[in-house]
Amino acid sequence: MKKKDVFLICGVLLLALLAFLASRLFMPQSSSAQVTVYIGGEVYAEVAADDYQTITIDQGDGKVNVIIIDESGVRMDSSTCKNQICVHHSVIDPQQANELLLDNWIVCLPNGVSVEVTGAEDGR
Amino acid sequence: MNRKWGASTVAKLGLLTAVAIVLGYFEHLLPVTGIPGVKLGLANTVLLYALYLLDIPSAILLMFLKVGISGLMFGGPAVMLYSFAGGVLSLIVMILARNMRGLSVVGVSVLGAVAHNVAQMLVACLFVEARAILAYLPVLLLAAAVTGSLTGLIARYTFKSLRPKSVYDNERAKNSADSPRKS
Repeated sequence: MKKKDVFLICGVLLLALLAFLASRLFMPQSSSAQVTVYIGGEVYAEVAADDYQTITIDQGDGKVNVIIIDESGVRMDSSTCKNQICVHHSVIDPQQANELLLDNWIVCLPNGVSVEVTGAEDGR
Repeated sequence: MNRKWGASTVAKLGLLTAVAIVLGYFEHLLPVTGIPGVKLGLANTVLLYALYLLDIPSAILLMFLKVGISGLMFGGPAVMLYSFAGGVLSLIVMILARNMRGLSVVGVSVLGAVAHNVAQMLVACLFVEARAILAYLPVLLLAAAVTGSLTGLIARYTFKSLRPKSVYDNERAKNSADSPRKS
């Protein structure tokens, strides 16, 4: 391993840190805790985090995702995708969404569904 | 690419392709990471081997064979698209990095890992809200630094035990080409 390799690795780590800080800085803030559901790049639904409900997204081609918002938080209850990463994702508590590092998203890559949980400005 | 593929080259590339596919599959069995989208990238050691101890056309061919066959065997069209994008971009970056002064195989491997992850993120942005993917960028960069270093080190120690003969071969070839025969 040469000197430049070490510089390079440090550079990549620094870039990761910068990307992390940028994502914190540009995190959208809303006056109340919110849940935004996207299909592809489009907003599908935008609801308040205290508006408990079950959102079923049936894209018509066999892709079905069920998102549940209740007192414990926001979670992907089921998905027709193969890897089930989104279903295994931990429940996101909207009260703590701002403190969560990088992890205020639940993404189902195969079905193109993503859920963003944004906390309120003052954390309430 | 006007070159003759001799029987020994074909055999060697076939063997390397098989090794790459097996390593790629073997990785799935290792519980190394629980982080989605993060894997060790052991198959990349084979590409690094081709890049350092064979030549660029061999590395390109290996990459296409590995992505194509693995995709058909273990994945679907979506998986193939992701690994194809990752494979192409990382190989381009590694070919360029290979010729940079001062970088060893570890640095080249790290750059390849970064390129691989970035390419896959770009593909993911086609299907999912881009901000969801970008939020994941720090994780994937950090992962690339770690996995790239590890596979780079593995490649380095593999080369060490494989190299003496091939260096000897290269030097012999060079000597016979460069200097006019004395005896």
